[in-house]
Amino acid sequence: MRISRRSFLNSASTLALGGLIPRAPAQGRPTKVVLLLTGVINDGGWGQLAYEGIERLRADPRFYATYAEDITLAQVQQVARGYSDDGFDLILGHGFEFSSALLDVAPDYPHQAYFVTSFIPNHPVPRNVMFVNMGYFDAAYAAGALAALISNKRQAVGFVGGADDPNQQRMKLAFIAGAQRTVPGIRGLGIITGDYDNAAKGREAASTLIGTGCDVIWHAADVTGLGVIQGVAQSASSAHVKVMGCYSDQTSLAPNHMATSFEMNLAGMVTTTADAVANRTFTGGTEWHPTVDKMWLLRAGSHGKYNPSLVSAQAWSTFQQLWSSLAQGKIDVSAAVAALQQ
Amino acid sequence: MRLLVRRLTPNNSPAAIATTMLAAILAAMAIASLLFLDFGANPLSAYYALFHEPFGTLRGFGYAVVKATPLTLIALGTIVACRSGFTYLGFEGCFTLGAAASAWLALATAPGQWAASLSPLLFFPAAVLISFTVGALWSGLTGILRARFGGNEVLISLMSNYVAILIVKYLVAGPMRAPGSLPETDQLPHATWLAFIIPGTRGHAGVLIALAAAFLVWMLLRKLPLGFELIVSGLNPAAARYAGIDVARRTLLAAALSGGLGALAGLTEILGVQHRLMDGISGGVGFTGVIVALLAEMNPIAVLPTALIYGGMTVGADAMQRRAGIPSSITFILQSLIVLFVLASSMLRYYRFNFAALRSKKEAMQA
Amino acid sequence: MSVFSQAFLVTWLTAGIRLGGPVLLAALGETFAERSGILNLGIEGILLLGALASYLTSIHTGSLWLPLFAAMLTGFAAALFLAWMYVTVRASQVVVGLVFNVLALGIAATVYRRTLAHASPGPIAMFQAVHIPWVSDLPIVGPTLFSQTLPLYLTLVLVVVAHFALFHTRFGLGLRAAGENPRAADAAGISVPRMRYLGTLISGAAAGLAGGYLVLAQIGLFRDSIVAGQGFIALGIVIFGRWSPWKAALAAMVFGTCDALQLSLQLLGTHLPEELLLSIPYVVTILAISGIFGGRDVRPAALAVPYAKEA
Repeated sequence: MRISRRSFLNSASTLALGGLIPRAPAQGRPTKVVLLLTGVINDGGWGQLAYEGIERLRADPRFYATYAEDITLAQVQQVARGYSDDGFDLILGHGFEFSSALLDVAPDYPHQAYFVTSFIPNHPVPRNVMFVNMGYFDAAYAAGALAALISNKRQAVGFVGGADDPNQQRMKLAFIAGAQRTVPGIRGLGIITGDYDNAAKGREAASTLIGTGCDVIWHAADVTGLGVIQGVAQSASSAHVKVMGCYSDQTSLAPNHMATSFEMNLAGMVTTTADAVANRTFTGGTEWHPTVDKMWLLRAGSHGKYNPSLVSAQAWSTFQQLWSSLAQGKIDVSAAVAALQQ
Repeated sequence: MRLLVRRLTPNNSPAAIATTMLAAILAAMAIASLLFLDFGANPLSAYYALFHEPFGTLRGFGYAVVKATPLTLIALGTIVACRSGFTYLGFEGCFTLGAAASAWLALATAPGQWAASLSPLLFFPAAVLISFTVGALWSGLTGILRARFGGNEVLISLMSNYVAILIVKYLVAGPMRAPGSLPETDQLPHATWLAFIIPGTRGHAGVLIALAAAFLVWMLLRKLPLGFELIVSGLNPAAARYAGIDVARRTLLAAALSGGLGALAGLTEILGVQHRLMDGISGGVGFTGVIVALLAEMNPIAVLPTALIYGGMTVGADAMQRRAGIPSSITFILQSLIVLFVLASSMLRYYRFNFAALRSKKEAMQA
Repeated sequence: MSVFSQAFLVTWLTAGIRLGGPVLLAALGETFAERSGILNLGIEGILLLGALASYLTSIHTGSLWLPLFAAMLTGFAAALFLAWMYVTVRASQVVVGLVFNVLALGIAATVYRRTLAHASPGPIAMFQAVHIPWVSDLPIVGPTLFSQTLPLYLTLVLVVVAHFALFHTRFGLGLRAAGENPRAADAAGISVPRMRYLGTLISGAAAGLAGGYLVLAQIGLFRDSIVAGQGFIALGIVIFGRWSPWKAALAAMVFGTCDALQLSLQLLGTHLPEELLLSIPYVVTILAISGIFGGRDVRPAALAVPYAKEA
C-alpha cells in the first residue's frame, strides 16, 4: 500500500482540534514560515527532506517560506527571536536541539506558532508550541525486525546511532528488541558513535559491526550514516553484508547492498503544519502523533519498496504483517525496550 | 618611473591605517557581492540588512551588545596575556568551564538545593568570583607548564580546549543533566539571570562586566607599576630579570588573569543569554575574541568598538539570511575575507602613490 | 567475545589504522611547516578543500589518480596564499590559520551547493584494499596492516621519505635552521622566507592530498562537514610526535585506535564515558609537550614567530 500525500494530510488535520491560540495572519498577507536547521539543506537526508517541504510551500502563493541553516547551539535562541521579531507566523525548529530554546522563546510571542520535530517534554508547554512523536521507536523496532528477517547468517544484525542522546539510545534498544523478538537466537548489536557528522567514524562503526559478525546494518546517524553505508559497500563481497538507509531513499549510495530505506515524510509534515497555521487549526501545547506507516515510507529507488535480490518475498510479507501491526498499535515497543533494559 | 613606490618603513599614521582598512573591507565586500548576485540576491539590500539591523534598530543593537560582551572579555584576556609575552589560545576551554561554574552555582540556588538561601545580592559576586577562579586555575595550569617547565603555551593551550570541552560535555551528559532529558541542565532559576538593562531588547547586564573589565585592564596596563612589569617581562624577559622582576611569577599572573577574563565571558553567556548549560555553547567565540584583540591592535579601549562592530556583523549576517535569503556559507566567506584582507592591507602601507609618475605619464601621452 | 579474542583485536586495530591514515598524511606535511617555523593551523580548511576538489574531479572523470592529484594541487594553491600571509605579510599565523578555516568552510559549502546540491551523483570510484601477498596472511598484523588501501601504503612510504628529507638532506637542515634560529640561518646564507614558503607549501600539498585520501579511500562522498576537526587532530599528532615523522606515525595510530576503541568497547557492554576515552590523546599530548618529563624541548624554537630581516 502506498501512502498518498492526501491521506497523510487528512490524518493530520483530524489531529488538529481544539482552541486556536496563534493569531491567524491578516487577510491578504501570506503566512510566513521558516525552517530552522542545525545542519544544512543539502545533506541528502534529515535537512533536505524538510527543506523539500519549504520548496513546496514556496510554490503556493498563500505562503512565504524560508529557512536558516548551520545554526549552532549557541545561536539558536538569537536566531529564533530574530524570526519571531520579524513576524514569522510559524517557526519550525527541526531537531531536538530546538526544544528548550523554542520553549524559552515562545512565551514572549504568544500569537506566533512554534513547532519542534522532537518529543514533547514531560512538563506543561505553552499553547503555541507543538511537538511531534515521529514514531522513531516503532520504526527502529521494524528496522530491527526486517534486518533479522533478511540476515543470511542469522548470527547478528547491527545499528549505528549518531549523537549520544536518549532518543538514539532508545532507538538502539528498539532495534535490538525488534531483531531478537522476530528471529529468536539472532543477536542485535548497536554502536552510538557520538556524532552525526563524522562519516569516517561511521565507516569504522560499520566495519566494527561486520567484524563482530553482523551481516545487516541499519543506521540513524545522518552524515555519519553515509559512512556506514560506505563501510558496507566496501566490505568483502564474500561476506554478503546488507545495509538499510534512513531518513531518505539512499539506494543510489550503494545500489548492490541497500535492501531498502526508511524514508521520513518530513516534507509532508512541514506542509501539513504550515497548512494548519494558515487555516487556523494549529493546536499547540500538544504532541502530534502520526502512526509509523504515515511518518515512514519504505523506498528502494527503481525497485519500488525493496530490492528483491536482497530481500526475499517471504521476508517481505512477514515484515508487512509486522508493519501494519505496529501502525495499529498492536505491538508495544516501549514494553519490549523496557524488557531489554532489565 | 613607477606608479607605486616601496617605502622603507610602513606608513603608520592613523589616516593611512584607516584608509587601508577601509580599502580592504570594500574589496572583501565587492567580492562577496558577486556571490550574492550568483545566488539571485541584491547585494545592496543584503548589505543594508547587514548594517541596518545591528546599528539602525534598537533590537538589533541590543543583540549586537549581547554578542560583543563575551568577545570583549576574551579580547581583553588576549591582551593581558599577549602584552606579557604569553600567547594564550585556550579561551574556548576557559569560556566553557566558566559557563559551567556559574551554571553550577546558579542551579545550587534552586529551592531545596544547598545554596537556596543565597540572596541575589550575594549570588552575582559569588558567581563572578567562582567563574573567574575556575578560569584562572585552568589557564594557570598552562602558565605553570610554561613558567616552570618551559612548555610551549600556544600548543598546550590549544590542546587544553579539547579537554575542557570534553569535561563540560561529560558534565551535561552525566552529573549535571536534567533528569530524563536531553544532554543539558535544567533552566537556571530566574533570580540568577542577569537583568535585561536595555529596554525593549535582550541586552543584559553582562555588558557592565565587560565595560568594567576594559577599564581595569586599561588601568593595569597603562597606570599601574604591575602592568609595566608585565609588559617589560613580555618585551624582554632578560632585561626584566636584570631589573629584579620575577618573570615566572608575572607570566603566571598574566595567564591566570586572562583565563579568568575568558571564564567571565562564559558567565555572561550563561547567565545573560542561554540560561542553561549545554554542550557546544561557545560556538568558536574563544577564537573570535582573539581575532578582535588583534584587529584592535591589542589596545583595551579600542577593543570595545571593535567587538561591537564584529558582534554587530554576526547579528547583521543573521538578518541578511532572513531578509535576502543569503546562505550562511556566503556570510562565512564575507567575514573571513574581511579579516584576511584587513591583515593583508598592512602590506599596502609599505607603498605610496607616486603622483609625479602619473603626471609625467599624462604629459607623455599628450605629447 | 572478549577483548583479547583475535577477531576483536583485528577489527579494532584495522579500524584504528584506517582512521589514523589521512590524519597521519596531513601531520607529515605539517611537520615540515612547523620545522620551518610556521604554525599552519589552516590545514583543517585545506583538508576540506582537497576533499571537495577530489570529489568534483572524481565525478567528472571517474578516474582514481587524477582526483588525488587535483586534491594535492588545490592544497598547494591554498598554501601559496597562506604562505604569502604568513611569510610575506608576516600576519599572525594563528589568526590567519583560523580565519582561513572559516573561509574554506564557506567556499566548500557554497561550491558544493552550486554544483551538486540537488543532483545525487551516486558512488564514485574508490581505492580498494590491496592484500600484500604472503605478509597479509600473517595473524593480526596481516589483516590490520597489510590489507589496507594504496593511499595508506603511500603514506607509510612518505613517513620514511619525510624522515630522510628532514634529517639527512641539506634541504632538511636549512628548513630546520629556519625554524630553530632564523637569524643564524640567514647569516649562514639560507633564505628563511624561501624555507618557510617551502614548508608551508609541503604542508598544504599533504593536507590537500589527505582530503583526497579521505574521500577516495575512506568515505567515497562529500559533505561540507566530513573533515570534522581532523585537521586539528593532525596538529595534535605533530606535537605528540614531537616533530618527528616516525613518532608522528606512532601518534596517529594511538589517536586512531583510541577513537576506534570507543566504538568496539560498546559491543562488549562496557560503558566507559565516551568523553574519558576521547580526552586521553589530548591529555597525553599536553603531558608530552609540557616539559615536565624533562628531555630536550624539541619544539622548533622560532615556531609561530614571524621573521623580519633587519633592514
